[in-house]
Amino acid sequence: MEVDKGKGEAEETRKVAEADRDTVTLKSSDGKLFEVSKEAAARLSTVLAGMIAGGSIDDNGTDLKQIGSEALENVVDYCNKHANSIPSAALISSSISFNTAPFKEPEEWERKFVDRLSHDALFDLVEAANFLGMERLLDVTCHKISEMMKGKSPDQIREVFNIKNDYTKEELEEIRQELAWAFYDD
Amino acid sequence: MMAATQSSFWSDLPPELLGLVLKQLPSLADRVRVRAVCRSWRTNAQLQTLPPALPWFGEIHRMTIPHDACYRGSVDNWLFLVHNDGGCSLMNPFSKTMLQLPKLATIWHTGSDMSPNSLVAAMIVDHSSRSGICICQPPFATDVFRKNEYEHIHDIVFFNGCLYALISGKLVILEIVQNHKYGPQVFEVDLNTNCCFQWRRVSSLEGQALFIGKYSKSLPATKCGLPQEDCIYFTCDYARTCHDPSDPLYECGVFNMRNEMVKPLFPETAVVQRSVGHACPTWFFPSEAI
Repeated sequence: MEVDKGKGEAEETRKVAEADRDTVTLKSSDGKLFEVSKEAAARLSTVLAGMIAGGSIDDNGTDLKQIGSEALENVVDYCNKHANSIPSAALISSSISFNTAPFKEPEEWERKFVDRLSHDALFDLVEAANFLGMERLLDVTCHKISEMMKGKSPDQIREVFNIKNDYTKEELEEIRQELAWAFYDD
Repeated sequence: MMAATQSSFWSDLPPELLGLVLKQLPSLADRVRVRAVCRSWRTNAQLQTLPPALPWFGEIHRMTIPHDACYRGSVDNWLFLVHNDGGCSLMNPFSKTMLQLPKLATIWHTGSDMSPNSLVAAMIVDHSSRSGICICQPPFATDVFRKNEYEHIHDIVFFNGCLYALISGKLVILEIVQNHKYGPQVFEVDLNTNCCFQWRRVSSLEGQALFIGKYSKSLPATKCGLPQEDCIYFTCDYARTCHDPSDPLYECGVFNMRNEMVKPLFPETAVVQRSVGHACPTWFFPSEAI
């Protein structure tokens, strides 16, 4: 270990410096690198928190092969925006069950953050948030998606999300009959 | 509506993510419409366990009821109907299931000689001999007072401005407290104390949300995903002639016990359809099995 004392010391210093680094580097599926606040990443993502705690963070860029650069840029942007905010109890606890946790309304900046996204980017971001175990970002993105559905007829929802109506006429009529009360476009 | 020739990736939204989106749609009608969008959403939505849909304070729907019947209230996801022949029934408006209720010996109608300030008390005894006292003073919501199942209310009578009840061999005086000056006040009564009932004003609902109207119920606020605790949601339960038919939300609101503020029932009225004609709103608590 200590063949070359000088080098050993230098290594030691470098390791200390790494441990003290307050950012981690993430690498998207298409090879782009992004720096993110270590504290915010650990606080907002259960997956990144696990990787940081388990020492599996690569200084040259931790590979996140499932996430494209645009989505990862949004994830990192979200984390960094969060870096200086005071965490509320609801955000820290990742063990709250989805069914019982009271939903905390998105804050103004979170709203703006998802409002500016294209539909494609929103879809990629919700998947990335799911992959990284980011409960708050999932809530915020799913809230945005639910807002896009609220009070709309099935036809209007199909138009918003560009979804093909794949029911047969008979099936559709059956659904409408059964649930006539829920359709506005009668 | 233009139908897309090729579905976008949205139809492949993973079930767990669709579940998270549906979870943020507390309105049952919204959930139903989302499920009707395409086959994969319908299938995937069924895989998800969702918190119960909220009582319908987000929307107003027109429900079809039989021509010979008149709607008089609701209980959970049942509508209470009184038919022209005097019979009563409960109808589930989704499944159209109809339950005939036994004919009442006498149907109590509001007498024309009643002054607006009249206090009405009625004793209710059901088949299992459980008994309760129902007190109301129009236009305010009805209060139901029920003893535990071991004690039986034999009779009640108004005398010298007090309501007396004979409960399991004891004569008790029921004190009816009302104070509508600054919005609702909430009292709890200790039913364990013999004879005299101590009404104690409470300042918290301890996590419950109260829905008050023609039909009242309390639910745990957080379980329903309601953003605030200690809130009382109320609808107008006056005789229908009192309201403006064009506004079914007349005198509805949310009373927050913490700041004693009354706010409109629907801060976002985007989904409220007001063209429901001559109707009286009621709370409706849908079951999720739809």
